[in-house]
Amino acid sequence: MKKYFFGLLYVLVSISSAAEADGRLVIEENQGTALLIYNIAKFMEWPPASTPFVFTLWNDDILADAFKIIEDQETQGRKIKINRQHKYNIAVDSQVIVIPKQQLQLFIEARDELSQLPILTVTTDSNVFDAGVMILVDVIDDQLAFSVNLAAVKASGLEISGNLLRHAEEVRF
Amino acid sequence: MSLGDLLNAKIVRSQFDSPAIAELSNGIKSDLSSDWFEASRFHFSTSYTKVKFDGYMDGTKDLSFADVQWDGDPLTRTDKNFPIVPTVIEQEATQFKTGYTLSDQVTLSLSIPYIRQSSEHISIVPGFDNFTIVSQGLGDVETAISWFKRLDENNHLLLSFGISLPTGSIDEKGDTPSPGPDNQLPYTMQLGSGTYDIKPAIHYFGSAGNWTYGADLNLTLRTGKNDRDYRLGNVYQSSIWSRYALTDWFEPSIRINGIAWDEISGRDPALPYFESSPINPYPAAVVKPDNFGGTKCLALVGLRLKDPRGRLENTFLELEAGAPFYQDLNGPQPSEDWRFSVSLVLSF
Repeated sequence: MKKYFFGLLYVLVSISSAAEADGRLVIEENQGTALLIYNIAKFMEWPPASTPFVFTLWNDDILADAFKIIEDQETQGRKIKINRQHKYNIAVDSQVIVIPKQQLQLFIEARDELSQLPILTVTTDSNVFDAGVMILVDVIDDQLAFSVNLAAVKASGLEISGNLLRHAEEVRF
Repeated sequence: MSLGDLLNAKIVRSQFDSPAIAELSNGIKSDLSSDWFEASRFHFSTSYTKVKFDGYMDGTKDLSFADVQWDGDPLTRTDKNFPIVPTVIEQEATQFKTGYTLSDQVTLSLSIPYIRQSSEHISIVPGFDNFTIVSQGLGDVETAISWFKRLDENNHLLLSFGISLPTGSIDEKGDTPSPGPDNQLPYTMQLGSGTYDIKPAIHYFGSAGNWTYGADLNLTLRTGKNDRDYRLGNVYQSSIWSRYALTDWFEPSIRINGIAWDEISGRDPALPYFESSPINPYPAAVVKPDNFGGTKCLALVGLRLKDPRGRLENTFLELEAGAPFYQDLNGPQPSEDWRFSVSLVLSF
């Protein structure tokens, strides 16, 4: 009995080790999400400013931790700042706001006000995306993907690169 | 990293998919008081565990049943042999556990076990050459409060404080070689400890790529003595484990588990004890309080299975089986042969 047990243990450990050889770059989901949002922001045209470029995360400390990898980098000639938003108000000084699924109601309440501002809204939840957020970042199988609500982007006055749209999983008009 | 590189990269799921974290992190959503109810989540799990004991050990030495059974000759009686010898003991526990995520870091839980035990015997008592006794019913209900702490993005700590209530019977009776049909069964066949037990625990878990790993320390500290004037030994357990996500839904694991437990303090006066036999007043090893306690180390392999479609978030089936590779028992004492468990965890 014990001989078979340790044989099984050996086989399972061997299988686990072999599965590591994949050849593709491996990224943890939250960090991948942060990097993709950062890349999407680079493909937008932003009104000129000298203030920090602010990514605000609405009450999502886990994803906010992942955003540390881009904090203090530069984009659009501006230093990146990560803002953890825990209070019930809209961070109007942000360039990007990331809205988690549990903040759907807050987004619906703030949607009209946000749509008038040059702020890119991003979510990882399809229900929040359906409610009018501009970008959905998703994992399909084991790859990152994103969808764009172009109508919402246009309404805010932001401009999005055609090169970025070519990589999108879905573009809504 | 270019956008193309990023979109082609292999994404490994968040460390928050790991079992304990998954349950707890469901509540890590909101600091807004208006979201209090939204952040609260219920968790439910059910598990079945079976442990089989077959054979005896004294210290680290294996003993045969013939070594442990006294043959009836007064000249061969020692304090290490007995007229009645349990041979194969099987313990089964079906546990129902519910958890409620109270806030970002705090979870309350309640565990209700249903126990079934059976023990086969051989003896030199006429009419009881071979006999089996069975006990089953509610075990000791446990309530616990857990505190979750994220050390950093990949490392987490869970502190837990539980109290086990003496809801399991310590009055189980059966037909044994003692006079009459309803005799008090040995300590091993009782369903509870009979005492309020304090159960502190510390769990550490971390992740790196597709690996998750951790270490646990669990204590069961008995308080006072039960109504039958004895106290089971304290139990000290530690584990190290690692799991690898081969796919989104298939995760094998390995675990090393160390257990140390103390002997029984006191004695149940209803169990047979023959003062007229000064060499060994106990008719079986399982009624001798000194023949409890010891240390053992187990190696276990496991498998976690999730919904391959990914629709049942934070729901998984887990299987684990293992066997001791080291035992040092205050013997003669029945030794563990193997154990198996299956659990289903649901969060909603």
